[in-house]
Amino acid sequence: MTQPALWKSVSVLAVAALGLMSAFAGPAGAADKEITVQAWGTTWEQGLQEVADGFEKETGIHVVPVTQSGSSDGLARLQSMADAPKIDVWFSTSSLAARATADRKLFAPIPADKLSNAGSLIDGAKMEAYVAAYYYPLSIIYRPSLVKKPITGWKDLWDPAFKDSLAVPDVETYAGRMLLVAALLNGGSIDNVEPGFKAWKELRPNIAMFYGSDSDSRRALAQGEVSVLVGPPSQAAPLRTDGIDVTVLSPKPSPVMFDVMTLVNTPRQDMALTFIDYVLSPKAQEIISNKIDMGPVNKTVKASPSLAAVLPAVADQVSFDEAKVNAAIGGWNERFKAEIAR
Amino acid sequence: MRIGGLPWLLLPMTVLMALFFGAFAVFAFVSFLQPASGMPGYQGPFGVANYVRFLTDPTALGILAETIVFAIAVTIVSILLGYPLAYIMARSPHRIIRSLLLGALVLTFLSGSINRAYGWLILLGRRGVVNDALLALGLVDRPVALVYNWTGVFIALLHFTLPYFALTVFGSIRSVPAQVEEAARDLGAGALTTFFRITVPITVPAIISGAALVFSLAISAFAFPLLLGGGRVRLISNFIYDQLFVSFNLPFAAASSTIFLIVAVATLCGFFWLEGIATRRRIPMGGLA
Repeated sequence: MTQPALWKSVSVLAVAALGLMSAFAGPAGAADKEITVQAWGTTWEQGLQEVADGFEKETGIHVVPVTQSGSSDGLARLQSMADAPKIDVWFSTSSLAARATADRKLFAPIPADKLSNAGSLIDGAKMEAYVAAYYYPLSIIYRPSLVKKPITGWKDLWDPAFKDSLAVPDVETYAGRMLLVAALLNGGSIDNVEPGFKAWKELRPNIAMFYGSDSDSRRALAQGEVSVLVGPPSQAAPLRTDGIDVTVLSPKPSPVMFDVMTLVNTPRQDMALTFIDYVLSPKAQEIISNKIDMGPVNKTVKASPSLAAVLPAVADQVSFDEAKVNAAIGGWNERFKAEIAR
Repeated sequence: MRIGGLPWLLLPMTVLMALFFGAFAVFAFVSFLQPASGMPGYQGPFGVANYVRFLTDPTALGILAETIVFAIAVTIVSILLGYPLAYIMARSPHRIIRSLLLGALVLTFLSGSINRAYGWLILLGRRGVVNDALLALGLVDRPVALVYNWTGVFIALLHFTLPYFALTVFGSIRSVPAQVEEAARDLGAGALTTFFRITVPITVPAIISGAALVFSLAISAFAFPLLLGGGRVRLISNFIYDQLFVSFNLPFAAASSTIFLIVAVATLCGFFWLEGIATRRRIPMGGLA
């Protein structure tokens, strides 16, 4: 591991430890104007911390971060404290949020009239119980120095020249989008993933690792264990910071996903809603776009030039019915483990 | 001490055990319920459907069988490598060798499993030291896939379990009086005969204890398959995790855990039974109490 990467890991751990200590210290340690936000460590460190600092400066409300390695782990933590949640805002993938927020004891609806930025959001960003913080496509990130010719589209990944060279997300990670891309490329759809499984089987010789963690896949690309990574463009920023040259492209069909904020049913809902609204504000969206390399959901904000260059054209974007994804993902995962990841 | 006379002395231990097993008892109770439709959680009716599903699902049974075979393989190799290592640590005439081996083993024992997993990723990777050496020696013409597969998980898990086995057996070998081995040598037995017919049989109970420890660790391995398996290695712990965090089927995860626990405990009982037999045989043979 390179020094900056090691330092980042230490920082993330420190943030997590401090967050957990402060968040769960109990009433004696809690300030009057304080909320707790659970998000991914890397995302927090890359940009959400800066957003939270701006929020505190503007409102006087302090934000305590609690990190999660994945949305599922975060949800498990929330459910374990369901009777008296100590987390006020939870960042999650939209797929998991769609499933989890059906629990109306744990999660509260987010009224649009409480969000001054609600009218500026892109289509699909605001649902009854969650609101998107940013969007991102599933992209191809690769190291030009380790591949023989530039990659131009998804089909290139099936080229035998990439034998043992790819890191692709497993079914759980990015909610089955890799399977759905493979299905769409071969005439399938969310209702017919058979061509996707067939294509994925053909891709197996080229896959060095199926990953469940962004940091693991990023490390593999950084160490040259793989030369190509399928993931969101935000994976490129930390690599570039570490001096690793990577190229990003978001070919057609480009599945676009949201990471969203949910409002946990706590007595601090008003302050939590203020925070959610702040994240949607142009000021915060610019930070998210520039620092985390995620697409802004506020229409008045333009993506940073470097991000705009790799975001897919609207015509190339595809999205999927989260309810269908949630209903099928358990079965897809079992089939993936039995037939593909062997 | 006659425990029957002071039953209250059992109270603290009973409370402690109740706390330890209470959490699992709640989990096991959930295994008789059904997942709530559309959201994480569970609901009635009460029944054994999750157990029936596991016991009739070839995939689930296959993973359980694969986990047991894998754990047995790790245990056997731990014995084959760990016993000679422990023997050298206990019997080497060179103090520096004994100290170095023991120090290295204890250091390994104390380093965390995650640290070790990442260490192995660096060592065994395509651009790692091992592949560099194989390429430099001309033994291979392209890097060998040593991680993100069963091989990597096996190596890392073996490295993790070896100190447990070696340190368990080490004490037992040291407690074998040197005079017993010397007597065998005086009576004409060679070094190997003494080792296999005197030292090993006397230490069989420790070998079984160490093997049981290694088996327990191997059968419940979670982090190594996750970090080094590249998504291809799925042991029963990973299967249970998937049921919890991908399918959000808590009752089925609980039923899988309960079945896994029963199988693991039954296997360990087998180890203890073997240990009992070995101990009973050892006493009349060696005359050691």
